[in-house]
Amino acid sequence: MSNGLHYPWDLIVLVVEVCLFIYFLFVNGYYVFTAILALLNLPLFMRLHRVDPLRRSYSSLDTPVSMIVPAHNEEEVIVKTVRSLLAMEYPTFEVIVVNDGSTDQTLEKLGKEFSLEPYPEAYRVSIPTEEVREIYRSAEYPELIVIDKVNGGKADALNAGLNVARYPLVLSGDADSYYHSSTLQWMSEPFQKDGRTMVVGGAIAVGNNCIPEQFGDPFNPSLPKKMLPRFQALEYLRAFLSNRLGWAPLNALGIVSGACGLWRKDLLVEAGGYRRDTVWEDMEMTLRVHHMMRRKGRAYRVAFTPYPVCWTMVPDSLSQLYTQRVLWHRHLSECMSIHRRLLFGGGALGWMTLPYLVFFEWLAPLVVTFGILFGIAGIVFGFLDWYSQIVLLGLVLTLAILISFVAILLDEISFTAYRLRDIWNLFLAAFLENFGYRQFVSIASLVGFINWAMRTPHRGRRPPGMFVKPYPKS
Amino acid sequence: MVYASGFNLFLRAMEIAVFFFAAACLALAVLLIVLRRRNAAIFRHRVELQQRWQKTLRTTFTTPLTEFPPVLKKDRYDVLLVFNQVRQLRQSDRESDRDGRTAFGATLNDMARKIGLDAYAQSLLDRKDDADKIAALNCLCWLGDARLVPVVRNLMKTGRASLSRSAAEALLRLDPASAEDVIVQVRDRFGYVRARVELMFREVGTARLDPAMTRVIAISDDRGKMRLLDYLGCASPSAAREICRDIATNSANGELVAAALKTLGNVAQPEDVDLGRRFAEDERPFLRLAALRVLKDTATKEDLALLERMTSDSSWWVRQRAAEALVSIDTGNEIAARVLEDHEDPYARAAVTAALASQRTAGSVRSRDRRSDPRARSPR
Repeated sequence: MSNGLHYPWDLIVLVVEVCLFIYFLFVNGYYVFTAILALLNLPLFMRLHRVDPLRRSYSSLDTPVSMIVPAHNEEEVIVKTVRSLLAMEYPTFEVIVVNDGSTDQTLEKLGKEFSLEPYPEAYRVSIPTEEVREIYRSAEYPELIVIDKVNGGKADALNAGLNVARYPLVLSGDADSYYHSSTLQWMSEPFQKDGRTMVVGGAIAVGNNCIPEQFGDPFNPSLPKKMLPRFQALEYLRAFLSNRLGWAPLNALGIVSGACGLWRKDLLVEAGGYRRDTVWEDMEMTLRVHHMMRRKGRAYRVAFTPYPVCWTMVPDSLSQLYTQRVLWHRHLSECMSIHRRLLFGGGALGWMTLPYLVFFEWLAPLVVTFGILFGIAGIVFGFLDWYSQIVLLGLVLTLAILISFVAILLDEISFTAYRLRDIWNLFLAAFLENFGYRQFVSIASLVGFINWAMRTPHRGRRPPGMFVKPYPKS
Repeated sequence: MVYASGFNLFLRAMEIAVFFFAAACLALAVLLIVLRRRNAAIFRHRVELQQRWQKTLRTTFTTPLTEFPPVLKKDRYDVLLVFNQVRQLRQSDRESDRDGRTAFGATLNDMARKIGLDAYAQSLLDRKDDADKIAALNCLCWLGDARLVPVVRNLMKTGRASLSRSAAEALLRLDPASAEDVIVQVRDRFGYVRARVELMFREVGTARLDPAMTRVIAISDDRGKMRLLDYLGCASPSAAREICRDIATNSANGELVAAALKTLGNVAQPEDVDLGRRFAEDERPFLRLAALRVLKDTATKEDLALLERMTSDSSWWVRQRAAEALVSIDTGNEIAARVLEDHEDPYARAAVTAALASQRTAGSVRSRDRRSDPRARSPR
């Protein structure tokens, strides 16, 4: 409560406090709503999975898939990633690795490991890209194609892969992620179940402490050993299980992660391929699909599969995390600007996802920073009392922890099921992330927002795990 | 003053909320720990149960048992799932040994009845949960109680795809004569996973599937025909061929004809080459592409000129497929070499180059596979 202030200042302070509180209520109300939707959907999904006597059967009728993996200086992980892709249990697929102007040994390692030979592909340019230097094919694995091209960024590499892809479904993947051998079976299922499905997103988990050889069924992942990736593991749980599982049944998924999205190729080509003028590409493409399909009045679905199909490496240093979050927020800003007409444009996407993304993600760094500064100023200058601020902090803290616990619960009743020791560590992370980590992320997001507003050109490359964006990140 | 009293109330509400959420966090944390321990124990128990019963079920196959391990009330659901899985897997594995499969199935069914799975499955069928109903259907269809047929038919018409497909599968096992009804369901609704429908149709056998498929396709509209063409691979090649030829010859719908030609490509005989030639000259690229599917296995030396011409097609896909068909014919490589040397169209040259490289890669992989295969090395 205002202290020592006279009319109208006491009223202004009260109004600001109430507005901040209402904002806080809406954010958390939204999280609770999507978590409830997820809690309603997941148990039946799990029970149906359990009673299926042929969980992993496939046939020649499954739609063939082209997997595109852009790689830029990925010499350390590329061979393992490609091996995990070649080991897919699926009738017809091809793996297209796009070496996007790497300056390290990425191409040489691929060449040595998979016996690459120059392949005179009749390259067709459906989408213009940077120059393609050479196309290779493996003498051991005919389903492996490697494109060597001039550096143009991930979007450009994906477009080059699209030009070479010959199958109707395209998986956009990442060189620093590992994939379960049943990824394609699980992700292609929604296409078969609903002919309106245009794209399917897969659940992604943090794989910093996972050994790809362990990716069997059931898969028992381990939490990362460092605290920073642990915070992110918790974030991923909240984002993928709590939020996306809640959004998907309403056809309101605002993002399909670049690390694991299965798209209809004709749709991507019709949309003109990935945009090269944004710092990221996945959210923009997802929103573009929504936009395009709505404009054309075509029935469509953007689906999500809660199977843990992909494990990705996340930043394990503050500098990498900072760069990642600056870029994420910048991309969010770009998307909100490009696709502003989707806001309140009908359906759950227009009335739920977009308002959420605009008010509680895009503008969040501004509100959070203002709230923190307001609280500090109030205490320093004496117009807010200590006690009310401590109660408010207690409320923020308990609700944040509760939402994280619900995400851990969803994980427990779904597939990943961390061990008991890891659950204790997740509890600890859920508490500790509120003291420094969240504020750090908010600052990085604010910088991203400012960079976008000032049109500051982006330099440098994305750190590991950069291609994965588990919005919402709060 | 008014603000102050209002704010105090608000503050009191916040205090209560903090205590409420803190209590909720604590309760959820305890619940999570309990759940983790419980789930870990359940998982271990299930693995143990599964191993024990799989062993029992396997033993039953070689030496029929009269005594079975006791099935506790809490384990019935898991045992039922193990039974369904073993029954299904044995069915799928033993395609070549129909008698062995039948004998083993009968032994397993006796065992299931002896341990009371039939009564338990019957009780699950009355539950509201789709997963329980599916588990029950999977079990009861193997046990072959014909009285269930009307119930299963009703379940097949339900709006939920997973339950409906399981009911369709169960109906085919209980009453294979219902194949026509099941094909109509597959034709008319979305949501069935195609791999599972294919398995279901293969299990019926071509003797029942062929006439049913022919009848349903004959009375279906173009959209229905298109959907069913996908499953013609489950019918016998002769029936599939006849249906495809009929559609390709008589339909005016280009997309349907293309789908028929595509399916025909898998079962084509030399005499189908006429259809391939006819549609290879069509103005619609998707029909030319589909025609090449037929020509790929049926084209003769007479078609070399046609294929060579098609390597200059305006469609990338047609050029590629034509080049692949060209190099797969015995004397096609000579033509391909000629195209490479002096064809004026660079696109044709690119297509042929890619097709030749693809043939070489496939050939080298095949030869490497043969070298690594011990049977290939041993003298015959």
